[in-house]
Amino acid sequence: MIYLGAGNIISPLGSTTSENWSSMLRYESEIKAYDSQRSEDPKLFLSRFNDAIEFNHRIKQCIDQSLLGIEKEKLDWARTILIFSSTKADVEQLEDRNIEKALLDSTNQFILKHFPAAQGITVSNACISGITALILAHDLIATKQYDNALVVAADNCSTFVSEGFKSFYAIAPSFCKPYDVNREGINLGEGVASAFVSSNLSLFKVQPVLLHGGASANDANHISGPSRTGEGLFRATARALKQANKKASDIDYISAHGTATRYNDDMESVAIERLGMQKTPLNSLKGYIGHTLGAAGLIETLIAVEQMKNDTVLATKGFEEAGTVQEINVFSTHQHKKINSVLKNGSGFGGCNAAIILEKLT
Amino acid sequence: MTNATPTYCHITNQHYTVNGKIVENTTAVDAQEWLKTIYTNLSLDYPKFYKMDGLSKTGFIAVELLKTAINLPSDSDDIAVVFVNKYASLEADLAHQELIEKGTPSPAIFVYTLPNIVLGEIAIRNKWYGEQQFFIKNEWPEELMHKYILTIFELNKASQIIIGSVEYFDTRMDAKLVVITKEHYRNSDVLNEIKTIF
Repeated sequence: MIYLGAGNIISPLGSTTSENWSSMLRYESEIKAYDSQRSEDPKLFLSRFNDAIEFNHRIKQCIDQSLLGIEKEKLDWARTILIFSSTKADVEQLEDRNIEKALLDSTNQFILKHFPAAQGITVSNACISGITALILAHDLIATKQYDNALVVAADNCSTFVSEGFKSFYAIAPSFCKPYDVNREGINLGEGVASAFVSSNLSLFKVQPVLLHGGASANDANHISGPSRTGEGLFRATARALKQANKKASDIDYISAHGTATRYNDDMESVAIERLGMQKTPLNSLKGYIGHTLGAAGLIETLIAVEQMKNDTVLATKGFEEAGTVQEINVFSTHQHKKINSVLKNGSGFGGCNAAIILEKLT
Repeated sequence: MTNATPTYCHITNQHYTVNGKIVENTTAVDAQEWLKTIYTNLSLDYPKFYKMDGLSKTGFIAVELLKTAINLPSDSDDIAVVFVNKYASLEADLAHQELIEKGTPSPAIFVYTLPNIVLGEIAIRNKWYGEQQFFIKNEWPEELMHKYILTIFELNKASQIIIGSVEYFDTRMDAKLVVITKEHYRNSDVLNEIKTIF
């Protein structure tokens, strides 16, 4: 058995998982309009921190909070892998051509300095990075290569990224509307999350959940457009279910990606239809915290854990009227529902897709 | 059919090798020109190649080189592709940053500011739907990669892994890839063999 717990989230909604969770229960968001780099461009709707805390420092704050959730004396750092997940880390350092600080490995090394006995690696698989980090943690522990993993995920709302998505016409002109008939694109967000994965149940002060692992799959179709047949997402989810020894009908709730671009959300609906999961309750959290890129997979997994613990499926904030190619079970008010098993999935540039399965510990 | 030892290749600015044997040397200084030369030498006909950034071209060509020495079937769920480098997509990052400063960002450049795009290019070329990972580390993480290879086979996530380092930054390129099959993993001291390659 492999467990996931001691999770923490720092987003503009709050500095702990419970602050984020309470805000989402109140349908709150910190997504606001900001001026674009060029004043003549439309305003950008972003979920941004309104402080000047440095990127690495916020990561340290998040990890410190996760450390409060474990019995530290039971953690052997020499048997622990640190997995950092990010797409662009502190890329704004490139504005001053500060290359060393902009490197993903620099952030990893910064974290490792605090845990010198641990080994560390960074995963960078676009918007599925957080999920692939959890899969890696699970797999390394399942094969007894390590006993524990500290998984850390972070990304910033940089001009670098927003200007890029703007060039793709993928940015929403207002608040994002995942799966809605009138959706027009994404709101970028920033955030940090951290959690422990371990084969040692007694490591956790608060009861963790079971992490069954998962799988990734490529669409093998296009580097920047999702597959019309949902190929990779379908395959990744089918493989994740197989790895977890579960059927589609065992899943009580899907923590989906739902970026609110026309193509992504349609693609997800097609994959879900192919999987026979159209009736399974599903949500996207992008309307609360924006698209946090390489942090999204972990942040959304930790909110999935809160949903399991509270037997509540959150509404998809921004969703009003169904508008995907295939009908899916998405709604605009929170639903009370018994949740034992969760599917978390995601998709990203490069045609990558990933899925993991979580289960309540009884 | 399985080879007794893993197939590997190495591309640098000076030469490219397959299974340790130099196929061709060059004195060309331009990395892009050199990649195009290898592309031509391999008799490839894949126009998408010309749209790729340097990192993707390097990874793409390295996999094509492997295919000259080992059968890697197309349309497969069973081939994992795992790349590691230090600079991620820094070459494309700097190009995108310059375009932002000029006020002319381009989606054709921006998309390559994610290191895993090269994995997508390879998946599209070969119709490979399997597991993929892009790792970032300032040096080849030997111990961790050995552990990762073990997890892929132990958990039946692939029957073949293409794994190695792929770097393209500041006109310097270096790609070193090895193909490890489940049979290698079962039958031989494959991790020691990889050690000698890297």
